[in-house]
Amino acid sequence: MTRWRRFSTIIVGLLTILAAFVIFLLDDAYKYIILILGLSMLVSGLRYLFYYGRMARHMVGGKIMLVIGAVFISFGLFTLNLSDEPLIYLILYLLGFHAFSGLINLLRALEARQYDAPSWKLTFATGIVNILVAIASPVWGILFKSPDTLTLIYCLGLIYSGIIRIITALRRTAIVYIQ
Amino acid sequence: MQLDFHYYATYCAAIIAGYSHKSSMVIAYSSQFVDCCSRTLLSRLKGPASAATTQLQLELMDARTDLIGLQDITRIWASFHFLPYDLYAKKKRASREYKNKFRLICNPNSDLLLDTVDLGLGHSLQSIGIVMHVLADTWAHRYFAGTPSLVINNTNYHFYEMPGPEDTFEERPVVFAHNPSGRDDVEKGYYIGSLYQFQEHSIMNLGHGRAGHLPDYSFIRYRYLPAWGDYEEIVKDNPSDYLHAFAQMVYALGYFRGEYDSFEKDVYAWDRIKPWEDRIRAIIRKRQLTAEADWKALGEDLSGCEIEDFDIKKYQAEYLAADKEKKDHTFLGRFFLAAMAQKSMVTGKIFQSGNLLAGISIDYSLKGFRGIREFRKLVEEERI
Repeated sequence: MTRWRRFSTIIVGLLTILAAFVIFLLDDAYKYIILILGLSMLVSGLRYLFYYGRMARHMVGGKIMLVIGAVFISFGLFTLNLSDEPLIYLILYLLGFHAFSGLINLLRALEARQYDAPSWKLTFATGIVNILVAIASPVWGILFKSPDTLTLIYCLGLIYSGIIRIITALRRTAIVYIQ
Repeated sequence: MQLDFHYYATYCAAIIAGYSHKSSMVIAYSSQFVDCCSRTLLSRLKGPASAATTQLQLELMDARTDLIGLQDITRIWASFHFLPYDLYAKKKRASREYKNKFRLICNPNSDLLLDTVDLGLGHSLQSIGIVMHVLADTWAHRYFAGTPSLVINNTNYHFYEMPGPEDTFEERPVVFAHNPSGRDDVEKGYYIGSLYQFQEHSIMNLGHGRAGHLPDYSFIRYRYLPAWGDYEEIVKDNPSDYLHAFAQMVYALGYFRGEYDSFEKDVYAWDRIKPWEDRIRAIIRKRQLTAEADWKALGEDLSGCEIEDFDIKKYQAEYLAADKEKKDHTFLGRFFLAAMAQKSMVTGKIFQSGNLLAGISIDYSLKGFRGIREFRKLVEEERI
């Protein structure tokens, strides 16, 4: 990692953590989360168009990236225009993300256990937590109508992501080359 | 390639090159162990994580594909399984980002292969085993890159299996199924491949995942459109490639034994394998999921000794029981040192070419020791 990359990764990590606290303190915070998700999709769409120009135009069948870019932009714009009941989208996002992560964690723990690797317990525990969060999201969102709890879960995810970024940036990653 | 070639065929090559049964077993075991030495295994052994030579399927699923994660993946797969052919390859009107990936495409007889062979010269038999693995994979895995990349590694519906001289079927299209727990059926032409993912860095786009296990079968011939090939079809003739791999392994092993002054590109020990060539060709062409039994029988005929089955746990107790200062002198300790040396060399060469896909490499002779501490072993101790 170059120094500039290391610096920018730390800054992004800190901003992510800061954003989590700011979002949590806002009224109707889940509406801002939908705004973030919509903007993310819009940016993803633009990135796919850029990706086509830089890379995929050399690829067999690469024109599909133009279509994917257009779909993302459309979906992003659609999400940004949601004004009624955006809560369901937040529920679906949390459910999908944590259920998938949890499943991978659990499978990974089983694999690690086959190798007698001590790391399996931590991976297993992480998987269970992810599955519980996935289950909790619709319960809180639909049964208890508690968007604040969903906002908290989302913000905790952001904080975790920010911390991982900072840790990644501080790790030694260069390999020594001996001639 | 799989256990049949990396273990049993490598044993045969070592015997033909003149190694004893015992040395050939060490070389063959080390060659196969490249496909086993994952971070998960290393964590159990409390070995250096930087010595990882492969990643388990679920390690990959769990791997982060951010910058550092991608560099880690590329170091492992480009160093041991998809040795890049031309780090300075040209591609007209392509962005630097694209060219960096294009330059990691694997092919046999590269400058990096010469560097890899030279790295093994005068070092442990474990080192030589690693070289055999890398060399053999340059033939099986050619046309794919050891980095997750859709624009390089993708394949599409234009993919046909071509019949060999003994096959009764007509040329047939290959449609890959995406069942991770499924098993290929070579008779029916049912093959498993990774799922199409349109994210450039998806782990599904690493190496030959999109072409399933086809590059790992010695008997198969197929034609397809590689994503990077400007719509030019490639015919992959595995029987020919595997025979070349075997003949080149025998030549390289002869070089390690001091029979040649230098190791050169495109040289094969055809004369050495001639007495067994018909049998080797027959094994390679036989339509089967794995040719372990046939290679094993050949190896035992060649040496007159029994070849024990590969056991991943064979040397683990020795490593775990050894004192800290003696670990590097155990079987696995020597393997780990050789693996780190190979990773250091390949990462260094990729970095020197101006390509950051495998991360940053610091030249010890110019800047002293900086970076991942585990590599200090290569500096402090003369490699065993």
